[in-house]
Amino acid sequence: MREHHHRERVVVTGLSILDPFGGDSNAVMDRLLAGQSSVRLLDYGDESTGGQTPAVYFDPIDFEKRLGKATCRSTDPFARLALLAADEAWTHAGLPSTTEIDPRAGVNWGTALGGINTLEDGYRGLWKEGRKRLSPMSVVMGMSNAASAQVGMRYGLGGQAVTHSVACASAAIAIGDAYERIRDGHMDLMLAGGSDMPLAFGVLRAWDAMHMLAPGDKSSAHRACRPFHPDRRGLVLAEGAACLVLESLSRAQARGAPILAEITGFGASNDANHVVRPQKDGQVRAIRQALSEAEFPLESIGYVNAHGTATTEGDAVEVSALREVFGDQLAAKLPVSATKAAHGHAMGATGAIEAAITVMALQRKQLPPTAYLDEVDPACEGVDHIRERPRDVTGIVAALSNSFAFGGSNAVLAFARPNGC
Amino acid sequence: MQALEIIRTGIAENTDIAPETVTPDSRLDELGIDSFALLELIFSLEEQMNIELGSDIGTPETVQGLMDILSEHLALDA
Repeated sequence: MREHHHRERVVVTGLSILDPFGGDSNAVMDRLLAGQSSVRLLDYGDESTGGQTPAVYFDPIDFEKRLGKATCRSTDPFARLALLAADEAWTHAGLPSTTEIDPRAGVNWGTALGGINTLEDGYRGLWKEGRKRLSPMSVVMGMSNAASAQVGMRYGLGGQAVTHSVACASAAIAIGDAYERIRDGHMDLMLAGGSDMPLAFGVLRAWDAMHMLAPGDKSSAHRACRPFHPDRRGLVLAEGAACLVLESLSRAQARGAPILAEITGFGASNDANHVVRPQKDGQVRAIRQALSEAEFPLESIGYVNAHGTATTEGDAVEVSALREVFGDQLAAKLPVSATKAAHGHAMGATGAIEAAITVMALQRKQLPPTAYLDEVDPACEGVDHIRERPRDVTGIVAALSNSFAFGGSNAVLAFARPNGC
Repeated sequence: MQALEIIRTGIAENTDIAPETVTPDSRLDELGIDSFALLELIFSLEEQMNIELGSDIGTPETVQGLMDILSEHLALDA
């Protein structure tokens, strides 16, 4: 265990998940527990160059109504989504609206693609449509730290506003780092989450070129993403955002805040090996670090929200990492699900979505299934897959949320039900 | 179209300020239009009118100042 001069307990006091099918985080969780998918077939591009792919996407959101015109004129959709997610989490935590700047409060935000839609619109205008000029807001809309900056301004978060761009692990690392900032006494409150709007034409084409997008048509799109299934064919890109409110236990207790869960550990590692091929050893290091910090016995982990993107290699490597850490006997009883089957892969936001789901699973003592998992690939056997239906668990104490990124960065968050707080 | 109407339209498109409250005497800072927001407003007016006001238009402090700049470029009634 690492030595710390200062060690605060860190609790989750609010959360949000934005999903195209609407409703608050509880409504999203209800759908996940029921194994309902948010994946639909997306038509993209124009007639000559476009295509179709299963994806999770929002119908047009009336951002102006919710955020005002001035904010919308100076923000990319990924930052607007961040503001909506932060608003919902802030309210959920029972925090008051404020104009005061709090030097002990901050924001960590994950995004893989940042203002990609602003960049793409700009390039299209300049190169395809022959425009000579761009909006003077282009720079501040396109910059990757726009979301954290906007969230920080909205809530007077004067301590820090930091952006984490670590592909699929962005938001998990944003949350893990926020946890450490509070644990080590630098901050009292952190908004930590992520947002991404990855369905830009060029992004879709780039993923398509890697042959990693799950195929599907109108009738099959909803079950296109099939983690751990023998027929899994890849991931489904998703628009999305989620946010956690993290506070020191002392601050949360002082204001009588609702305590949803405690963050008990964060493990981070780097494969340092291959840009897309995940390595068991790197994942094992991250899981073990999260567990050692939590100081829980392995038996107390009652759920793992897997990274589970539904790639052939990735899912099998993740299961093998869990088996190595837990040992075959315990692993066989370890409930695991990959909720990306239902909410898709929201890139830099996905770690926050899955962290929020893990917190709600602990709260409700109900574990969401891997949707449409009617058969498990032999290469992914060895853990207790939660298949198709939700599972009630009475004695659950703690849970993990795994996020493993392209590039080799691994992040594992450990959460526990509130105990003595 | 008069310069004031053009500006009111631009303000309505870019901000939540009620356009009817905008008068020639209105100070831009009191309307909540700082120098950064003014950049976007001017860009929007340029796009709307298909003109370029150039980069040396100074920093008008009131709606009247902005009307004068527009009128100069468009030979409008200020």
